[in-house]
Amino acid sequence: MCDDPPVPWSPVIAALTGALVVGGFVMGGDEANLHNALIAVSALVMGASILRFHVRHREGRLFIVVGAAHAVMFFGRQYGRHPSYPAARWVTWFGVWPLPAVLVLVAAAVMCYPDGRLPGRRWTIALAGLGAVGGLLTVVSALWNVEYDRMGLLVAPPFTVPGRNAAMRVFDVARPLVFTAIQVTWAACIVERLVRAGASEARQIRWLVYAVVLNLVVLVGGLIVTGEPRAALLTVPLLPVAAGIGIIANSYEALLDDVRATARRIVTAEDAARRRIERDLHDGVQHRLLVLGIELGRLVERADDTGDTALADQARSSRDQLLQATAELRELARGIHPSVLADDGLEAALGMLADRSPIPVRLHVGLDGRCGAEAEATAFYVASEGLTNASRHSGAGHVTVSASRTGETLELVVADDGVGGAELLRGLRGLADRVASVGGRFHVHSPLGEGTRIEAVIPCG
Amino acid sequence: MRVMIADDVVLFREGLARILAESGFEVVARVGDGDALLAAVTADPPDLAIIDLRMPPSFSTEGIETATLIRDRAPGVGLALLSQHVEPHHALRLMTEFERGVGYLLKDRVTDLAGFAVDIRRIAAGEVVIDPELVTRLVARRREHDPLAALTEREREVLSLMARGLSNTALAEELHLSVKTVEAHVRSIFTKLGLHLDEREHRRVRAVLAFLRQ
Repeated sequence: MCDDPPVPWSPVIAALTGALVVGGFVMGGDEANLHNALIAVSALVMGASILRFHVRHREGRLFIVVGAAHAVMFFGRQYGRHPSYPAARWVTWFGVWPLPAVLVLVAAAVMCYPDGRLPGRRWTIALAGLGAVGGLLTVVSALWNVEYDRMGLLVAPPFTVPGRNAAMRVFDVARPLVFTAIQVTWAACIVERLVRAGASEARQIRWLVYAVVLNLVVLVGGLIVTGEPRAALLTVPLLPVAAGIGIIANSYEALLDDVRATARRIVTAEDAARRRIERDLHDGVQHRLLVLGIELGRLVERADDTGDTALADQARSSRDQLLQATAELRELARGIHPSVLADDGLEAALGMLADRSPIPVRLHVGLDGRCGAEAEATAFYVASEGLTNASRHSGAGHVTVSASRTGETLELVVADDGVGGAELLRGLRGLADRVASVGGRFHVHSPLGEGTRIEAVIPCG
Repeated sequence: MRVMIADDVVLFREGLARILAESGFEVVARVGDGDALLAAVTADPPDLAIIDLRMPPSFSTEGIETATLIRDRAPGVGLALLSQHVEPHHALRLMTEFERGVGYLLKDRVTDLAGFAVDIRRIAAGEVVIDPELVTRLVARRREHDPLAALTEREREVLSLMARGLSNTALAEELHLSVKTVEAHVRSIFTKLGLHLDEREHRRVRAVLAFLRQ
């Protein structure tokens, strides 16, 4: 049933279901029939919500079918209170006989939860078995109208077939057996699925299980207090609600994971690109310039040897300028990607930043082992940007950079004694985004006159 | 003097080999990674190995690791580590792992062949050489409470030269002072900075570098 997407046009069915429920209510209230309307509405709303998220979600479609089936039963039985309505007998008939088939349908929906597929061949066979006996009961119910007596209807069946008494006897025995088998089968299926489920599936199934347990509690409580299962019947609509929430919450979770993964991929790709550029500069341009420097060095020596001091000075000056250029290029390459970070770790890289800072830096590093490359790079950029901000805007006398690792978290703090009042400037905003992309937290505390404190807590990754 | 060069950048390696050859060095091997250098050194140890700090496969500190292995197998080989960048922690590590015949030089240094030749000869002779650029930067670092402020101009000069690996004799020569005067300066510096004086050259360099890096 759920291996073959049953409804390609869910919106139409949803609209018809809604019309049937509204129409049923217009015909007056009936406490004994109310649960059908509630189940129809809750299954329909949750099914539609799921389909909004995943247009082709199989379980969402099953919800819609379950809703539609209950709407038909609700409408038919409401109609059955009005013998004077047109075609009252036939319409009512449709509200009565499908009960066994609908129960099998509900079992299928539960067994297919949460992905809309049965969890294995055994359960496909089990469901087929339920379908067969349920189908037989449904045929009996349709031909001999054996359910009519329970429903307190004012409208008689549309036809009679001989042998009703015999059918009643068979039905009275078979009905509790088959209905119990249906409940036991889907319950066993959920339990087995829950036991074998991965984290995300288990999260969804738990929602359904909570609702089932609540339903059972109300059932037992209701039987003890009132002697009737009516109250439990009214909590059944909570099942599709809980099950639907499970699926939707999980979808949100998955969507969030996707967004986080995308942000992380962007950061990783950016780091890789930076690294590539740094390597290209290092292996290509810088070495070519160095070789040029070697040539100029030889020129200096030759000129010295020949006593041409003017030429020697000129060559020397050219060489010095070239070295200046390579030094600048080196710093540029470092800014693009600090190779010291990848090669020697965060402590060395922070040391390098401290070495280069125009403001004196107190460095406190308590790191035990390496963290992931993204985490380390993020911490490094926080320190780098923090120090740049401090030296440009804060007027601070000194800066403290602390890096520590507690379990699987890396904490980095840059604090200065400057003027404070640092807003989330462009650089800091970028840092906040970057820290968030690796699942970390970023905080800037910068009251006027009290210095600036930038904190980043980053999963070690 | 027999020299081996290990650098993965062919352009630089060949350029360096050429000028060294022109200056009378005998370049007996030119290789692109640590393993190849180790093989060449093991087969026929040279006087000196010039080693790029970052080499394949991971471009991190292969040079230092190779140097350590060479020191184990052929203790007489001088080890000149070349680096593209000034990295004080690498220099410190070299001073910790090696006692003699080791140097840390910026690649820029090769553009002044005469100076470079002096440096590598010193390394081959067993001395310790630290690139002056690195020392200059460490000394020039801004500090909150600068302990170097307590030093005289001359003492600062002595400190820098000490950090570059110069022995007392070399210091005396460089500054045109007597060895006794130099020794007095050195003692004074160590007292003022609160450091424990150890005459062993690499330890002295290490102590000074570590102090400057604090």
